[in-house]
Amino acid sequence: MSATSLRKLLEEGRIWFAEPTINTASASTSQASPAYTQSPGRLAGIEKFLSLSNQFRPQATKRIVKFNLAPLDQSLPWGGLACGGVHEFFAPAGTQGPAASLPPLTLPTVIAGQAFSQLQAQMQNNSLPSYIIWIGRRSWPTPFLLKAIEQQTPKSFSLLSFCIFADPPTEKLHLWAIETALRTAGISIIIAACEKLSFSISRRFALAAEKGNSLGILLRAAKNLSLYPHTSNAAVKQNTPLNMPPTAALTSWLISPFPALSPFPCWEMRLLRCKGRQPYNNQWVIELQDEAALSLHILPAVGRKSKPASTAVANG
Amino acid sequence: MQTAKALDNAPAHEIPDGSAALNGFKALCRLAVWATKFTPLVSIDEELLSAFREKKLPAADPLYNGLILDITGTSRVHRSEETLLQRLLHCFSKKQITVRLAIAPTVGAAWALSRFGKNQTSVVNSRPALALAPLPIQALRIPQETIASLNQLGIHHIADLLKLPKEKLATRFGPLLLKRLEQALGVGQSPEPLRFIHLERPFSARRNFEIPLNNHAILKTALIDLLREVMFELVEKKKKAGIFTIELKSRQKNGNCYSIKKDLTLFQATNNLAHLNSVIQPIIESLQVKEGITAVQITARLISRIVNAQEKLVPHGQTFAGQESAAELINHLVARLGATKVAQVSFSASYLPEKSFYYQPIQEHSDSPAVTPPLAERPPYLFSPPQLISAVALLPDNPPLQIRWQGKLLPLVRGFGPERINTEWWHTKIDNGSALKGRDYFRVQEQSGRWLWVFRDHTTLHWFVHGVWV
Repeated sequence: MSATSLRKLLEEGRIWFAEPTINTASASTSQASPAYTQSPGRLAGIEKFLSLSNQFRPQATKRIVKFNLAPLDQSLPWGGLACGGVHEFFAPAGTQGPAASLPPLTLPTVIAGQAFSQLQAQMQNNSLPSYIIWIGRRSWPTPFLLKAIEQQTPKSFSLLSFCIFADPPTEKLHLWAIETALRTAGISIIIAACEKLSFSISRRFALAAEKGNSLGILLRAAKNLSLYPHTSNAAVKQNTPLNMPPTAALTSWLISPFPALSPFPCWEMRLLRCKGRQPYNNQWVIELQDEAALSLHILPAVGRKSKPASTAVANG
Repeated sequence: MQTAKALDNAPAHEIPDGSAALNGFKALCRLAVWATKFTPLVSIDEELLSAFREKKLPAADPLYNGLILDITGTSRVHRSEETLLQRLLHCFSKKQITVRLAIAPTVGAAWALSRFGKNQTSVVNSRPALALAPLPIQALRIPQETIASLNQLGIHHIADLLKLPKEKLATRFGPLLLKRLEQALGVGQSPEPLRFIHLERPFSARRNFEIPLNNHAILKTALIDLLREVMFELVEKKKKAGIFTIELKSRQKNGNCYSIKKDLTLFQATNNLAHLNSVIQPIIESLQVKEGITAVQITARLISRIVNAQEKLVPHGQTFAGQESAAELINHLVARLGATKVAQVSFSASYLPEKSFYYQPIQEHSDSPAVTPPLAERPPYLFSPPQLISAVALLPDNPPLQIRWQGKLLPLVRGFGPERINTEWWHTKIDNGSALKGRDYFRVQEQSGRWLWVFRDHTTLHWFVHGVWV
């Protein structure tokens, strides 16, 4: 929390400080924001403390990467995905059947591809070569998707030549590779498949990403992630999973296939967790059109959860 | 690399590849580098060098394809000239090269005797005139026109030429004839300068241990010391290296020597000691010290020049890993994960989805030819190999209505297709008479909403799941 936001909160009267020596005369005069008017010295002290603490952790100017989908961008406090942090994308929990444990690939890849072209445009003046690195064999998407994204980007640069695919042989090296890549300034996006992640490791990733000002995308297939309600608050009940693993990621998303009537693949994207904001009603159905041009669309909420007719067979 | 240096010594402007003459010249350069094991002063024939410089190699006379070795002062090493000749003959016969050798006091005499001498090897210790007299005048390295005019006068051998008064030779046949004659005989005022190939010392450092070493910690310290030495030399000469080779030599108890070599191939050449130290760490740790190590050596290869090296204006006391550039990260990844584990992707010309792209180690990656496979309706995840399923479809060309995959029955909601993908005709083996070898691909949707990419193989008529939109 910065000093300006603290000052704003004080001015709005949303926080108070317990003041040991309150002058009764002045207390009667000030009504709207007693703490602020009474204790400017104290506020100055807090500001000084905050500025001192900021010296130890310099705040890099966060680069923002947009989804280019307005509702999604607006749902996040940064107006898009913030760089200098890690974002998690979960595969649906509790699904069974063949190939159910695959991490989500399509949407994170499209998001990362868009993000890369945005970052590349921002970094025009910077001569540092920027790369996008995929760590873990399970996180490698087929190059068809990458090539399709490449053709969509306004500036024609070869996305594939900036893609590096790493496949660490052991779990330990896997984590090492992710952390090192996140910390490296020349790598702008890191996409990694990560199954088990303790809080301490995710915190390490977050700090490394903060240092490298890079965008970390973790693809996770959480087998034990369940979405049972645990509070009486209806909105939270609907959105907050009970045993979501503790994480230091900036945002956590759940991407599950959605049985829409669209002829294109559709997913339900749900914002499970977001640092600094309570995720309310943050569910969208996103369609990937890849026929002529690759693009993401948000489907209207109409028809959500309605299963399409089971016998309909369309012949293309 | 050393051949390149030998070539570099002959200032070439452009080397067109592929011609036989050029390949021969290159081979001769390599041979010259190899011949430095007999004497440090090796030169390629001046005529050949000038032909190479003027890009007239194919027109050069094959007579000039030769090496000149200055063996002055090497008698202590080779004992006598005859032993040197025998040694040379032996080495060349091992390389399956037929050579003619001559040792003489002057370059001209050695040249003449090696080309036109009676025997394969000849040694002339003093008075080259006697040995040269019976040789034809071609042995004097003179142009064809001079030879023709001399022949017209009935002068066929050097002996005939020696009888003529020297003063008139220059006026009648040009200055070159007299110069060559004097150079061959070693008389007069015609020195013959030679341009020796110049080999740079490889950037390497070596340490021998008196007592065979068993301690890994000491080995590590020694290697880091050696690395510092090599790096110091590189920085001093404004060079950087792309490959570092660590070589350990050890002797077993039964007296057999063997050596272990480990290469560290970098994505981008460097002369940054701090970076290299951290990159080489996993390699050093992976070295196993079983027998006593008697010597260690580090050699830097793939040397390139530093284009722009400016000293840092503000020296950093501490370097964070975050300041590393991307290339350094790739070096780290390659060193720790293995060269094959860090890859880039290229497309190749094939219709089959799984064959239309391939991953290549990042150091070997070259830009692929501009092949763009069809991109629409390709899943982001492919099973490798495709997974066998059983399917029920109304008609052969219809998308399946349900599939059984890994023993689980999955009813399908809908499907699109078929998209027929054929194998290239040059890959099909028409063995059972059917020419139809391909696959019919369908995009089908499960009840959960997930889309699968399934195909029916025409040869086996089996169904497979090839990909999934996850």
